[in-house]
Amino acid sequence: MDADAEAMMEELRQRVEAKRAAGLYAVDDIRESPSDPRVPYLAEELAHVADLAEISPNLDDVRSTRRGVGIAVGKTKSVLTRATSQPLLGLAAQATTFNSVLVSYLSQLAQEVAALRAEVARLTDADSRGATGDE
Amino acid sequence: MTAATTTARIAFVAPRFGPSVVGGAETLCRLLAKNLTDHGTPVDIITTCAIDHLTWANVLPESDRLEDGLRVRRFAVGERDGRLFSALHGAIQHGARLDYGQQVQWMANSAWSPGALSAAREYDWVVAIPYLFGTSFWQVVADPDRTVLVPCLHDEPHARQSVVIDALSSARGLMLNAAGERDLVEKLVGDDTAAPGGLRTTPWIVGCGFDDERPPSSAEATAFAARHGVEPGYLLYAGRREHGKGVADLYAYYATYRRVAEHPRPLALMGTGDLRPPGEIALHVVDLGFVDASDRPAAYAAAGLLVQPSRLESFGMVLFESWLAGTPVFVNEDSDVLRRHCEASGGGLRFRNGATFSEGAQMILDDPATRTALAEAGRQYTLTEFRWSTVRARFHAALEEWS
Repeated sequence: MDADAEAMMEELRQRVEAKRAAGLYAVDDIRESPSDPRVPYLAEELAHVADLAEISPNLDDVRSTRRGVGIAVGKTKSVLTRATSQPLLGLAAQATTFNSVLVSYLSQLAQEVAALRAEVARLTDADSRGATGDE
Repeated sequence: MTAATTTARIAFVAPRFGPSVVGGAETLCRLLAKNLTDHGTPVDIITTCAIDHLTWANVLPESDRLEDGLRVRRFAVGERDGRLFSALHGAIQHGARLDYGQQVQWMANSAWSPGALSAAREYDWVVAIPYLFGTSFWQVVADPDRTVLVPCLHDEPHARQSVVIDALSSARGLMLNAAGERDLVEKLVGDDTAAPGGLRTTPWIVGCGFDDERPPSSAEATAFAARHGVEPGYLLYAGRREHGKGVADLYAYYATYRRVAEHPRPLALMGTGDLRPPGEIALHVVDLGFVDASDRPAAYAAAGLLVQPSRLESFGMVLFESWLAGTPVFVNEDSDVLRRHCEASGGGLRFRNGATFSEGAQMILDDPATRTALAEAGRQYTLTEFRWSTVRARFHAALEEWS
């Protein structure tokens, strides 16, 4: 026997429509991807972000790879870097403060979302156990 | 075999390689390289000293030796900032828009190996697998003319980054796994203004191959089911149990199926993972755990159908294994790759919610003649399109065309 899979797909859709009309399937039963895979940031991921929040420019790592004039260019860069270090470090400190506060805020939100998801899962589970008489 | 491959030196580049590495792309790399080598086209493997895809620690020594008949050359993973990579990788996953420089930084801190890049210069063709690792990305950047990319592409945020699309567009050729993956490549490259010229060459669908092996007998299937304490005819899921594979959706759909079916069958899970079924269905879910390769055909044969809820597939290896064992498949309609396989073969049905899952599962499971006919159609498709000899011929023809 040959099976016509596309004809079966058409039959499948008609069966679903008929049973929906008869009230066998609810809204949740025709919802696609009911379990949203987009989980909130995990604590580990946020820890990676937190590590990057601190902006700490290395003012000693100033050099040039230009052939011949590299040493002179490197020294000039060092002088310029030292001369601008005060506002540069100030900017870095300000950026670090902002990043740290933002990451802390995000961590708190992620924890609250995770707690809410766990609570929803617990209530759904308890509800379904009650409905099926498992407990 | 063609002139382009009879004397050419060919290397496959993979971020990890070895018997304990079981990812889909790594398995494809191993099987294709081994089959080509066994049939007269020697292929060397260039890989890293890492096994763990999270730490990328160099746990193996640098070496050059034969492993299962393949010459495997291992090189240390290069300097990288794993924290920066994780932060950028996670940001992309969560929908952040990185500028081009940040995307380059993301790839610069992915797993890559300077030794591997250097060794690859010794070959006429370098086949890099898969797209989402520095080993492949920097190989394309370093030597686009000799590099063929086997991207194993998924429709995910990482694939939509401009640096990835540039890599797809720059490689000498793309070897894809399925028609659905080709559709995705065309969509991505067509959508991106960074690649106005499109691909350099027309991609070839090569994929992985299979042999025409005898399906397990009903006695073997029954014995497998008995050993695992489950009635034959179950719904089988084979793969990692995680959100990304659609397993949470499978649990929800299966709960609907149990509610409406007159004679619901159990759900058996083959593979590992932490995503456990909710209490509502837990009593009806059987954990087969890790099943040895020699036992897997019997696991498929004892099933009433194989269900594949994943949307992110570039090939769908388990579909072919199921068909060859005589079991039809039931797949997520939102996966272009799986849907195209089912449309082309007639070997299975598709679902997109709890209602279609419930009705489709019953249509397959409650009619043995239909079940057998679907499985046979899938088997014929496998042996026509993905028999090893056909896959090898496509591999050689692709290199010939790109020579």
